[in-house]
Amino acid sequence: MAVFPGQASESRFKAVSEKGSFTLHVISSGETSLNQLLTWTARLVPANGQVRKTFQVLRDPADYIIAGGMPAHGHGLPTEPRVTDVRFDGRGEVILTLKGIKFQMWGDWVLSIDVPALQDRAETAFTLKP
Amino acid sequence: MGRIFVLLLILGLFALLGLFDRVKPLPWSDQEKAQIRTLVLPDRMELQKRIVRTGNAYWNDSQALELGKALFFDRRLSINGEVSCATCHQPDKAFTDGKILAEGVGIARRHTPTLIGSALIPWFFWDGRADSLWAQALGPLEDPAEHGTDRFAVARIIAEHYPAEYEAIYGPLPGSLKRDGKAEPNQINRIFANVGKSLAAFQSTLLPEPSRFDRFAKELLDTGESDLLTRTEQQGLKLFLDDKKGQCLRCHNGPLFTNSDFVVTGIRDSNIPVGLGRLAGIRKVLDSPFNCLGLFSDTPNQCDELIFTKKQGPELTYAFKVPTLRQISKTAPYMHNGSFETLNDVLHFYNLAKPQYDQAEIGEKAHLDIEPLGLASGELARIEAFLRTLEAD
Ligand code: HEC
Ligand code: HEC
Repeated sequence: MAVFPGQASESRFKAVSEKGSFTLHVISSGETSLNQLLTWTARLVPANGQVRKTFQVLRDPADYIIAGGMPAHGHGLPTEPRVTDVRFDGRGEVILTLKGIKFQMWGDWVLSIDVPALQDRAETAFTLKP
Repeated sequence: MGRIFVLLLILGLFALLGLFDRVKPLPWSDQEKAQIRTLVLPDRMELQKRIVRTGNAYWNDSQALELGKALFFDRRLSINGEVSCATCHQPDKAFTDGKILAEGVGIARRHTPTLIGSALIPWFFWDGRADSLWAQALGPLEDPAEHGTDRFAVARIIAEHYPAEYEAIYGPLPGSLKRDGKAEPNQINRIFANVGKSLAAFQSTLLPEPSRFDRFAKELLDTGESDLLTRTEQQGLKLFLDDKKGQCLRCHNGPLFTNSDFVVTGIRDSNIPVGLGRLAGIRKVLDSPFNCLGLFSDTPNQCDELIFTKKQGPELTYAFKVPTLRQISKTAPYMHNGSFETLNDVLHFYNLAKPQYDQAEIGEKAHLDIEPLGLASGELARIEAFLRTLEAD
């Protein structure tokens, strides 16, 4: 699991989706202090041309669902973060703006993006440390 | 002779142990030091920068502060002329009252929390039913058990006793109010909101002061060791930080020793059988005309806390706000229902993590955010010794 010192200005975590249709990269921005609202970025890299084509029609923020939490503590995120912007780069990768993320404890977290249209989701895991 | 010798030996040993408690430095890992750094109180300038200004353009206005201070201590703002904010939030008790449940015009439903550092957190009341310090202040004024007054009466008191002070900050009062005590509901709401903003400006000056813990932490981080806390207190701090042993840092983190989140610790609400906690609080704040998005907010475009806060799910039922632990030795009794007389009681509760209500009573399996610690009573006493170092010098 990626260890993630909060004071780092940027960190990246990645995970292949459960069915392998895409790879999720989550990119933090700025210092990650606890108890602050954060805006992060997610990059979804399609595994093949077919998935790339499907992504092209998934332009509504509601096509992507963020979830997360601390599995060891048995609780979710303290906020309801949302995808607020969907963009595509030249290679057909999807770039999502994730707003309203907050972490209220140090420790082991997961953050996932669910793409219902693909019936697939990817989950990144990281340890948030002071 | 022999007996005296043994006695002296024992006495000598105790003296040595006492000395030991002072001098032998405890080792601190890099991880612990990094944790401690996040708990140190920033200086006053930095704290002022961190004040949450939600919806209040007057939070730092010196005239609003003066008006707010006068209103805070003014007992005319109550139905019987006997209750002011300071009745329950007493300056010499870290702005609490020492009572189990607050007493104003009647007996309130919950225990009075401290106001020191309130300006630094985004949610107010134990269930977070206000999203700003100014909107919070409107609650007790109209609560029948607290001030028992209403916004019309408050507006009339402003027009009668504080017209110049008010108008210098917020502009002219409605003429009809000054003439014959009448005004449109939204004019009244505006005055009511401004009373809240003044009270918030005053409360924004109630910032925490450094404690012995802060001086210890600074010395430890600067020089690698410090004896400004006794060995017992340092051991308590270690347990507090440890995610397996005390687990306290999970929720009581940051310089105020709170993450301002809402969690379920199993404390029973005085509202029988049990109140809904944050789940009820969030519904109230979303419905309030005085929330960040409302007509009386000065920052309706900066309401991300309200917009992104968690609004549903089992984790919110019976969840209450994590309180600050600064000044904790001055604010007994404890918890939102005031059910624990001493810190020792609080720690024994955490050690067992057994909710004050049972499943049969609430008719469902409730979420719980704490787990039994299984610490020895000596360890609990050390945590308590540490908590007592958080009192401002
Ligand atoms: C009758 C006693 C009483 C009076 C009078 C009173 N309060 Fe309180 N105060 C309380 C209690 C009890 C709570 C917690 C109530 C709850 O959460 O349901 C509280 C909560 C608060 C909080 C929230 C603190 C936090 O951490 O969430 C603030 C701020 C506050 N009061 C300020 C005021 C102001 C300003 C006034 C005067 C307008 C006032 N209070 C009058 C008893 C009182
Ligand atoms: C899961 C989060 C969580 C953990 C872990 C936790 N607390 Fe708390 N603490 C709370 C909440 C929430 C309250 C208020 C509960 C209520 O009144 O309903 C509270 C209340 C308190 C109070 C009373 C404060 C007051 O003003 O009444 C003390 C003291 C305290 N905690 C100390 C500790 C210590 C020491 C530990 C570690 C042994 C600890 N807490 C662990 C969430 C937590």
